[in-house]
Amino acid sequence: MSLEKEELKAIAEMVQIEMTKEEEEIIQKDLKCIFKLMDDQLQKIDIHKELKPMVSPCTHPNRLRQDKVQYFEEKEELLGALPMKNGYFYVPNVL
Amino acid sequence: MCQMYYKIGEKMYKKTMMELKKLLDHREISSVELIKEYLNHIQQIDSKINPYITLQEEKILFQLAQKSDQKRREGKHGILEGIPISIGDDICTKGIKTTGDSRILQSFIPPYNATAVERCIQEGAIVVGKLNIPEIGTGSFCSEIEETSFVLGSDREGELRQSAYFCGRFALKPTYGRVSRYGLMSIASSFEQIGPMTKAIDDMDLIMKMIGGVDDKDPTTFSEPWITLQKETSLQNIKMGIPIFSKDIPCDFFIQEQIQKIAKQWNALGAIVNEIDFSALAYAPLVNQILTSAEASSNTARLDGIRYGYRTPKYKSIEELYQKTRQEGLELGLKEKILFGAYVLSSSHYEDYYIKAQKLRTLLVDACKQIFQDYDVILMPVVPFEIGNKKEGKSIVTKYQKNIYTSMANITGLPAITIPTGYRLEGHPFGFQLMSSSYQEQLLLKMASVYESKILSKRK
Repeated sequence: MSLEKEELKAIAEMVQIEMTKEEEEIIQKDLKCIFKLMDDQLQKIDIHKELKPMVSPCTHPNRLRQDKVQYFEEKEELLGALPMKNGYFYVPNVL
Repeated sequence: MCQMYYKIGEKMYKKTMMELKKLLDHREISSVELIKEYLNHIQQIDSKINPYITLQEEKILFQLAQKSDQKRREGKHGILEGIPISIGDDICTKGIKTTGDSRILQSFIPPYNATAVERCIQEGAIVVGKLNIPEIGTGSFCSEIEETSFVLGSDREGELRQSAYFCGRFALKPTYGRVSRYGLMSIASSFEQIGPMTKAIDDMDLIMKMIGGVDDKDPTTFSEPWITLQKETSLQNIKMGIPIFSKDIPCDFFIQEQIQKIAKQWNALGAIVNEIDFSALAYAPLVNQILTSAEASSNTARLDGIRYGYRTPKYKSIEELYQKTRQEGLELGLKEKILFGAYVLSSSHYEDYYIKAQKLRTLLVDACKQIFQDYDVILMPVVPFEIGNKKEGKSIVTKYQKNIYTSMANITGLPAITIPTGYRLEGHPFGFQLMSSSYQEQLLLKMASVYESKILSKRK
């Protein structure tokens, strides 16, 4: 698998990351090298179609909590994490 | 005449947690004195190695220490009352900046504690500060430091165990689900666990008992109880396997030599040590690279400049806001991981990489299960290349392979422990790793305790 510049740019746009020219070159070079290593390994191993893909290493069932409303006491601290200007929450201009 | 535990001139920051606990319990030292000594020490080392990203305010630390001393006087103290602890900067601490060492979270102050941190604080521990980590847990802690008697850190691909290796400490990556992940910054959710890094095994036993167990806020936690360490000196009938090193399972020759020496020590202690075919290890870097990157690309989507954290000052559209914020706020290493993850998750490559890696993950779990039918533990190096070695960190191949021995425990969810050897090589402490089957942390601690009492204590 070779990763072309245009493809990398398309992926970067998808994940909303802007890259400098220098970063683009380093990332493309690194990823090309990693893909080569991976492709060489993947060619050597026989992965059966029937094999089940593993999503989580959990060997026990998930414990789900009850769907109950809980009071969050630290409201002030939570709101304090938001950007403020003149006593208002400062949200980005989206129009 | 009562026994005195404190000797004049002794450095408190060199003590284990249990030693500090004894001194505090016997009123030979107060929490205020302890905090004072730690702060002096941190001031001395800070300019040299800069271990802390954020230090708790001095005034608050002394207030907390005074409260602890008061509680102790009243006999209302917790198990860790007045003992200073350090926390990795990707674990949330209420009211203390938690940046994940990332510019994008440079001003983030969590309104809550991670469950593991909360459980330590409930027992009286005092959070001194947040330790430096490469951006959002994508590497190990800095260098060898005489930090607090214990540290809580995250282990995604082996970062905590590698930090312990470089610092000459014990570190445990518990079975997946043993410790709640609530409050740990999610990067690779199905790989990461919080674990302790300590100076002694007794400390680790106590901390695990405290931080482990069911938490309603993390549905993956399990109720298997933590059984307190039973000190044993015999290792008879313990079967230990060592992987056969090869081109695909690389290991610097001199690390191989050390592992052979350590195997002989275990043999002398009563364990039956054999070489094993662990060829599945060769695929650990591949599975680790694909799946941790895929999970990271999805998990970091929340770092967008809208909800919290850094926001670029100049932008014309919402897309530009996202892109510039992430461009300016994220480091190159994490950007590369996110891009790689998005690529393997994209519709045209999903089957070829992501699904194949998930299937390989099943194969690796099966390979470990197979080995643990005949063996109790696997003895492995912590890193395949030595720090300071020119290869380390420079070539992309070595970057790809450097977590080969540690990432296996994260891929499979199994527990693994780093044990220091007590001697230095290449100018820094040396150590090794033991991995066992699920829920067998007590076996790992028992073995570490035997090594500590029979081998390490003689080197002190």
